[in-house]
Amino acid sequence: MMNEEKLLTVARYLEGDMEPQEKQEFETLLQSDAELQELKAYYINVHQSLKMNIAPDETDQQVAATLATLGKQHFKNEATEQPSPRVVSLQPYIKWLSVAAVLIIGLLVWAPWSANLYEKYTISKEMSVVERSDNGQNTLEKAADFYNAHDYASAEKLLQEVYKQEQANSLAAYYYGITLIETGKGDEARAVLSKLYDGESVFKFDAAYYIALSYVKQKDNSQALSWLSKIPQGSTNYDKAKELSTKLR
Amino acid sequence: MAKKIHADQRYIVGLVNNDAAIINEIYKRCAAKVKSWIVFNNGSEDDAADIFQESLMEVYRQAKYKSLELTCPFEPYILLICKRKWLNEIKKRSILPVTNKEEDLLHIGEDTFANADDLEKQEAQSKLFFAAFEKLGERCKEIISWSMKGEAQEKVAEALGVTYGYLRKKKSECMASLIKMVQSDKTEE
Repeated sequence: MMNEEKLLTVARYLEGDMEPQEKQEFETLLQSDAELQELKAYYINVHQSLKMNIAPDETDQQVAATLATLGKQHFKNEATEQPSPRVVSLQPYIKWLSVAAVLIIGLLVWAPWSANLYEKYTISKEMSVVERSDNGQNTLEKAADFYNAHDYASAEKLLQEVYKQEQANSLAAYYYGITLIETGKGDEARAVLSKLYDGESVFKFDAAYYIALSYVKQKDNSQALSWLSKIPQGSTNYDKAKELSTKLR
Repeated sequence: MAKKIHADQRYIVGLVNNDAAIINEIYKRCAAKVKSWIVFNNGSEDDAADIFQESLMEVYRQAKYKSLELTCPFEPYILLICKRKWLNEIKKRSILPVTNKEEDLLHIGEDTFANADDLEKQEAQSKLFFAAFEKLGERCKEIISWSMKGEAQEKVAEALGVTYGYLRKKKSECMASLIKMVQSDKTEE
């Protein structure tokens, strides 16, 4: 076969334009023909290079969005910037710097603003039970009453019951997770919420948001940021998540 | 190829999977360095953010579509790519660089240079292929991009007003002529 002819055969093979019989013959031929092998590799190379340029898929756009969000966080913030490479003698300032550092660390540990951030950025202040199921309806409604009265400990107990019976009940799981955060059980809350996040329920990204808030509450900002960044553009809490991210940095 | 994949391949895998925690780690480790270097070399923070994102996107694409395998540590690799990209950009904008090309990178291992060279080569190739694609006839371009977007062939045939059989045949022909063009471009050089 001439090169041109071979090329077309390779193209037809890789584009799925061969009948089973011909395909089999081609595969046999391919094993012994080095030139054909080379052409095939070359074809795939060109095909893939082109594909990433002219047909980026959804994931490509999602990655670009993740990078854009993180880029904004990491490049626009003066406070976390590394010192410039120019060397300046710090000797005379060190004493004052250390005093300032102690003050700042003290502030960070105390972090009066973090607790407020949690309060300020909660999203599900009201729990409403719209769906009525035969089983557990009363419990859920009672739980909602406690929840809305901010009696999270009582709500938690009821929600735990429902959650244990119906693991698939995403509404119960979601609010159960929140009550756990409210009652200071961050780890348990995250266990419940991350299961929700891994699933495909409507609470998927709300769960991610609350996991982030649970870290805010514990002042683990880096974990909080990482969870906030999982909330994709276009979802309900995206703007809030973005705003909170900026405050945490 | 019998090359040894570096443990930092995990960053590449994280990128491909859009794993926000790992990508955040990448930013944490590298963003400040890229920023200070680019700002020191007459760029702005925005430039730095763009260059860094562009570099990561390129690495992502090469990993996803062409199974890039890292045989060197990730951090010097991505920093080197960013530096080269910025030096290219500077040339385009005719800004004078402060640091000479890579003179401050002497402590970087040879394997890192090799990996970064490879990425540059792939990028250049990619541009070449795209230029060849652009030279194809309208019909061919349409057929190739539709099919690469993963649309069902029957749908594409209908949209273009041709039969399914014709589309299949034409697609192979178009791709073959594209490859031929790229090959002859290569020998001309």
